[in-house]
Amino acid sequence: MSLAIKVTNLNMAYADNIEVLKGFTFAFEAGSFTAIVGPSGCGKSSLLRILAGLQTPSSGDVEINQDTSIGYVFQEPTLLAWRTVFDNVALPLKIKGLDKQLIDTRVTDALALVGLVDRQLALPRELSGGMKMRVSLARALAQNPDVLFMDEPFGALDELTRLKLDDDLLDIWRRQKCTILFVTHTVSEATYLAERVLVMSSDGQLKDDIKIESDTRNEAFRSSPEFHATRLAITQSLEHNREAV
Amino acid sequence: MRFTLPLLVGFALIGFWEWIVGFLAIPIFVLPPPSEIAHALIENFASLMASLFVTLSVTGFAYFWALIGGVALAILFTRSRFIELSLAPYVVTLQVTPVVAIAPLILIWVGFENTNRAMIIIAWIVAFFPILTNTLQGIRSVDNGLHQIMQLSGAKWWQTLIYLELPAALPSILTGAKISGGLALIGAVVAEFVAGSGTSTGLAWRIIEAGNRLEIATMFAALTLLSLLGIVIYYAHSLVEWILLRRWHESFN
Repeated sequence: MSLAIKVTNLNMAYADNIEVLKGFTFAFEAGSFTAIVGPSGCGKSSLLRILAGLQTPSSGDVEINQDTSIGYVFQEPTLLAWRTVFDNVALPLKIKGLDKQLIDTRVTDALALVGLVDRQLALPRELSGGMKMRVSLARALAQNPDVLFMDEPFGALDELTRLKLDDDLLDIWRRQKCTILFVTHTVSEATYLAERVLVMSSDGQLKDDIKIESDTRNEAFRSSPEFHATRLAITQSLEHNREAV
Repeated sequence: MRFTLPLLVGFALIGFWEWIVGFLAIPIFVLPPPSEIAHALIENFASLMASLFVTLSVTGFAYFWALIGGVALAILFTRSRFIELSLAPYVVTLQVTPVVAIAPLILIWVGFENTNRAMIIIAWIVAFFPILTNTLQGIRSVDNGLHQIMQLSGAKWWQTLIYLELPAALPSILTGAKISGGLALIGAVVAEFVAGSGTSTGLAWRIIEAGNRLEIATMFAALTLLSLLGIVIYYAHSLVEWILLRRWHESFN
């Protein structure tokens, strides 16, 4: 397996000496689905932001191929209220200077992946919270990302919508074969989605790396002993930190 | 209801005015009845319209340059902290110094042969500031997440400006423009008062002139036109807001 991102001894401290990442070292395999869980303030979000180049670490190395195309989904949909669904998804491509036809194809494909082709002319205010999140996901997917960073993307949605989006995301991941780094507060979501779950401690260290062997992800998996055992292991690793569970 | 209620109140007030002037036998040079004002308006219609046009053009030019200058300076300030720190105190100084006090200086500098230009500058000083501050506030309150989307897309500064900052600031810019539209009119009136007789023949000057001649009805006629101009400016802005923002902005729900 080739590597998508190699992180060596990453440290991040903010101006007021608050350390959020301490000696974080990990290699993310290409095409893998990794979930990152941990208590609030443990540096999960900082890690994604550093890897995506939005933030500079205090020290440490990030090896990522220069041509790697990146998609990013935030906790909020972060849509431009005055642009239609289509134009929101198209914007990053337009900024990158792709030609109009290619943009049209890519946007239509991405909207098809998230099931929103028929809403492409709607404005964000006309959409539900789940739909807005799908648009946000489509915007990331339209860039044909090699690596998809997702920072608690479905955290603000209701349970049913989230379960549906989790399944859709898995479908998309299998089809697109991109590398996904998924930060979440929810242990069951991490267990259901990821092949590996990284548990971080409150002082920003990588505490555990839990693999999930099963390939199938469906209702049966949710009620399987493996799912429950893994979920328990992650929860225990989090030291019953209430914020994280 | 929205239109009939204020109209009814208006008619009632005008009717009462007409009646009380006759009932108390108030002299026409103190308070003319509405019928006299209407009469003066019709009698001097052509010359009042010419004056209206003068005031309107000063207001319009001042407003136009306030809009261009205010937005441009706000863009400059948000691009460079250095420029903002250097210029901001002087912009504030210009704003807080009463314009009536600077107006005579401006007239002297620009020259009495260019009264029109001087009046535009005076009105511009009054109108400029709300656009600047509102645009600044609008650009600065753009959501950080949206900025990160632009950053991740590799947007150049001007792309961020065109695709994100200006549209996001549009509601604030329009609010500033609405205030500035009214202020430009006030500025034009102040400028006409200061510029005095001779070259200036705008509505404000007509008010002074008619007052000197004790033609109070004509004074009221000019005043009515000024009010109407102000009302038109205000509602024109509301219309533009409605056209540009109604589909996406929260203020139109």
